[in-house]
Amino acid sequence: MSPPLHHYLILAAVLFCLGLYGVLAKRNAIVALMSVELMLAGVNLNLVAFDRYLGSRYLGQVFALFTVSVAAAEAAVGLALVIALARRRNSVDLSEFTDLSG
Amino acid sequence: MHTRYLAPELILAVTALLLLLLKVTGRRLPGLTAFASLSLLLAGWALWPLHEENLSFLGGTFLLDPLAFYFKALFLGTALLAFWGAAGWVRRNPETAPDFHALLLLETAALMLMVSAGELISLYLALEASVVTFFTLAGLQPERPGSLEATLKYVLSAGVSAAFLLYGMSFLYGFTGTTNLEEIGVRLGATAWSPLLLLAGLFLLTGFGFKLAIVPFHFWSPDVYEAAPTPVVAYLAVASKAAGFAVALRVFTVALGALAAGWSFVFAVVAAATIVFGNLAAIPQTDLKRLLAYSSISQAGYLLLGLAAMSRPGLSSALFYAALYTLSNLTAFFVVAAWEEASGRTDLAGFGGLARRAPFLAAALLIALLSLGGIPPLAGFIGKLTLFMAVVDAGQVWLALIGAALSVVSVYYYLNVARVMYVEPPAALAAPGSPAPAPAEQTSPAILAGVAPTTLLAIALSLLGTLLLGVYPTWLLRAADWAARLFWG
Repeated sequence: MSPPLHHYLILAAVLFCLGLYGVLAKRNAIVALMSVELMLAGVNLNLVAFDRYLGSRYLGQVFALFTVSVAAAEAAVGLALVIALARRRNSVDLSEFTDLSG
Repeated sequence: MHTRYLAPELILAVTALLLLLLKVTGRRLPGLTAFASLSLLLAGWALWPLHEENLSFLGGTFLLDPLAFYFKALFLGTALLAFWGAAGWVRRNPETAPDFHALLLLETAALMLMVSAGELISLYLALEASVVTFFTLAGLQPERPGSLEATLKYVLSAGVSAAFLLYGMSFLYGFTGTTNLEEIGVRLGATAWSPLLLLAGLFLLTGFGFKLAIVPFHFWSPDVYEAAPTPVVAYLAVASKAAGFAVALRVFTVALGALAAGWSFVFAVVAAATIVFGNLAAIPQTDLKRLLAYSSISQAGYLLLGLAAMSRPGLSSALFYAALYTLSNLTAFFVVAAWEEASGRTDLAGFGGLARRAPFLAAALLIALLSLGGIPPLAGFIGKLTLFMAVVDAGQVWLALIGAALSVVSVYYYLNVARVMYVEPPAALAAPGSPAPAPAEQTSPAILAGVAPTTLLAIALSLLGTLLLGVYPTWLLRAADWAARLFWG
């Protein structure tokens, strides 16, 4: 007996919102990148849960796999930027980056 | 075979990868601009015979219809001009030049796939391919002030917007059990309207809004525009917006078409907010690249008018507007790039007295800006006129009034740039690495000699396009109408 669909959807929404909160509120660039991944985790859970309960078998899982790999590519670029910034600034604190404004 | 349908994208991708491979060998690569242009022309040659097609292939993953063809041709032309306009920048940055060419080719391929996507997964993949390529392009010159910060901001906001897009897509999939846009449209047509569906649509709009840089998802764009290399910005400002428009159009009319009236209202509100905000925020800007960034935000709002109208004339005038906006914006950014190359400045004061130093650059910038502002007889006037007419026909008179009123505001800050160029005394030159010469010695030929000839050619060509489209708009209007013919019959 597995839990009904809406349990998964609520958990996914919670993950998504936690991730969104992390991006908006956290000052550390790496934590912000991790929070984006958390949002995507929520999406993936959604996709896989729909797949399981709607009986369409594979499409959502394929989608989730693509999401995971693309997120890895995105994180690679993001982390490369963070490393380059840390070398120049000796900091990964987003609030210290104030060269641009207006 | 289906390869034929994807041949243009494949040609671009293969030549881009070839460039990257050649770069690894460590040799100096001469003739990059020619190589990239050749690749684009080859892709164009492969694209041309496809204009008669109207089909979906690879199991509905990709569509080949007039709309896709129109945008693909637009992207190829934009990329060609962008490569020529970037020649001066490339000369100054020989180290990163191969990467620039390879990435811009890949970007073009990704955008071309994006406007062809007929299904959520391929749409998402193409969109991400273009976004990740743009990260790299935007951060190509890490030594520019603010470059890395702006790019990181871009990565984070792109990540969040992609998550919103995916979240919306996951609900669409949950509602319908399919990822094919047309199928989604068919299956949603039977279900009743629900708050969750509206939420899913708004999530999707968030994702596309980021790509289009419309209010309230525009916050990243002025920073990126200011800090990224100017040729990259020229391309980003036009091609990326056009692609975002195309996918938004497909998703909201094909997949979510059953709720067209509701989306029309949402788009009208977003378009009005974007036009008002973009134009008002452009007024106090002191950096020309930032000013153009806010002006581009407002232009995206005008594009959205075409979606708000939800009619065939609305769509075709938005397609027309996309093409002429591309030309005028490219001219403006190339002039900024050329002047940046000659003087090292992009701030508005640095353009003081440009008309006396480089009359051609000043005139080109002036004409491009007036076209963007919608002054007759330039192309922008006809574009805005047809858009407003379509919006009025759709019964949204208030939207046309807002658009027209804010056009006047835009003319104010565009003319302010003209005042600086034509009235103010010449500004001091701060060419990097060399002591500034006395302004009086700087004559027009000396400055133009510092600008790459291909950049001047790109400026001249895009300027010619702006002027010609103002006088002979019929053929492009007809092409836009042809591209729009599959929507709303």
